[in-house]
Parts: sequence; C-alpha cells; structure tokens
Amino acid sequence: MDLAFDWKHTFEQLAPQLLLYARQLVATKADAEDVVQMAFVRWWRRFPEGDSQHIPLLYAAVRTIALDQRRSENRRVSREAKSEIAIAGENAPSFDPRPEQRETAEIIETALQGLSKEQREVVTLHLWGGLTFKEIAAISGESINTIAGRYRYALNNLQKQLAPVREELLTSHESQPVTLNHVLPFSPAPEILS
Amino acid sequence: MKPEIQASQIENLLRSLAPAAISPELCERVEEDLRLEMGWLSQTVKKPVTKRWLFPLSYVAMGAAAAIAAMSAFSNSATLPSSLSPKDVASSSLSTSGVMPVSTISEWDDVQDEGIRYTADRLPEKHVRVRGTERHLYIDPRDGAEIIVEYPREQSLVLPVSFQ
Repeated sequence: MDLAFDWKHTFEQLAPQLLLYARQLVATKADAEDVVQMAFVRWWRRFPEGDSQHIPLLYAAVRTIALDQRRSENRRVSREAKSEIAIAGENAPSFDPRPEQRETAEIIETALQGLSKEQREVVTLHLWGGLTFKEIAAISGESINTIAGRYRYALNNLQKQLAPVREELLTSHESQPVTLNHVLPFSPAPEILS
Repeated sequence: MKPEIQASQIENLLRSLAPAAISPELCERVEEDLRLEMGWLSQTVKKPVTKRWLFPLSYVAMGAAAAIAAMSAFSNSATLPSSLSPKDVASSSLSTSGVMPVSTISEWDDVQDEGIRYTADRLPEKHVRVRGTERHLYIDPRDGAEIIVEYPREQSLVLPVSFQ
C-alpha cells in the first residue's frame, strides 16, 4: 500500500528531539524509543499533514505515554525489588556531538544532570523541541510564569555550574560553526523572559 | 571569582549540541505501525457502499432515498438500535466528557428490500432495512489519545413510491 505522504521526512526531523525528551521521562533508551514510536503513530494518524502547529500535541503525547509507562514500570520494578538498577545512568540527555564537541557535550550533559527534572524538561522542550513557554505550560499543566521561572532558574544554575570552565567552553564553542537547523526544524516563537 | 557565562551564551552552547540520531530500527517500526494504521483507515474509508437496492426504485423514490440517507448520515441524534448495550450508549456520548469528536464513518453492509406495502390510505411505500456499522473516532486534546467506538446499526427506511 502506498502511504502517500512524507511521514519519514517529518519523523526524521522530529524524532531526535522527541527521543531526547522521552529519555528524561523513562528509564531506558529502549523504553524511550517505544514511547516515541507510539506517540508519533498516534499523532500522525490524527494529523497526517504533519502540520508544525500541532507539534506541541506530539510532545504532549510523548509526555503522557512516558508517564503512563513509568508508572507501570515503577510498579513492576517495585515488585521485583530492583528499583535503581534499571534507572542508573539511563536518564541522562543524549547528544550526538561532532568530534570537536565531545568534551563540551560531556560538560554540558553533566551540568544538565545537576538541574531538577522540571527545569531540565523546560530547557529540553524550549531549546531542542522549539516549543514556546505557552506551549510548554499547556503540556505540563503549569502557568506560563512558572515555566518561564523554571527556565530562568535553569540558566542561572547552568551559569554557576559552568563558570569554572567558562574560558574552555567559550573558546571551543567560538571555534565551531553553530548550526541550529539540524536541531530546530521549527523555529520557536520569540519570547521575553519575565 | 571567575565571571559567569551569559545566559545567551549558554543557550547557544546547548543549541549547538544535536540530540542523538534515531536508530534505523525505530524508523522501520514506525513505518510498520503506520502501514497497519493507514491500511485500516484506507479500507474503512474506501469500502464501496452497496447500491443494488436502488435500481428497482423509480426516480421519485430515489430522490426520497437520497434525502433520507443524507439526513441519517449527518444527524447527531441517530437512533440507536435496541440491541445496543448501555455500555455502548455511554461510549457514544464521549463527546460530552472532554474528548473531541473527530470523525464518524457509517458503513452499510447489508440492505434488505422488504417490498412495497400499502398504508391505510392505500398509498404505496417501499420498506428497506439497512444494516451496518458506525465508527466514531474521538481524540483527547490534552494528550492526543485516540478513542474508537464502534457499534452495529440497523435502520428501517420507508420510502414513498409513485407508479408511472
């Protein structure tokens, strides 16, 4: 059967960011892939045109499915009394740095782990998912001010954590071409932090 | 004390890191799922409607039939068959519980011509019994969850007939 639409192009654009987000919500990469698969199929069935205005709904689906999966997983893990084993080391954001970025990526990944999960969620959805604070607020059921505040606190925390390696980070970053298109298929709307 | 990095510099640093690419296996799994899903939808939408019962009718009866069919297809207060369970009826009212109705697909699987009968006033009318399935698709706008409710449907149509 001819699927008659270019779902693959849309999926390849969105899936890395979705997977990054899902990995913060469930225990393992395999679980995150399951979540992304279910969410995308559900979303595409509803919006087969792949319209970018419906992308927040896709992230919302990832969130809902991931939280459902985590709840059932928590029950299972609790029953089997091996709670921390599956989770350890699997909850970190996962990047695909260029060779010259590897050191920077490790530093930033560690710094991101120092954020609370709520702050990390906002940073991920805003910077990599390209969602506005309003869209993130709708997904998480919080107010826009709360979301903006979390983002601001997250940047403050990162500033403090990264201060000791400031020169190293900025030097290496300035020597690299910054290409945002590969991580932001849809540009976020400009917003002003309150 | 070392100076902090500016917020905009941190944002640029983070954005410059690309999330890890997805595995080809994940892409294949999604493709397989979509094929199954879209195959189901395609079969549902494209299934031809039985029309054989229309041919014996006169043009007048055909016009009346079209009007009745259109009314029943677009009516939100479609009569439910008596065989429906209370659970089915509850499911059909999902639109009032926060979910959003997306589509309704009616399929007529069997049409039974019950012949021409005469009213008390000796006027002829054609009786037709239509059996099929009605499928409602709902979506929860909060999380994108989809709900499909399907139930059998049976209608008895009475069509005016004029002999020429």
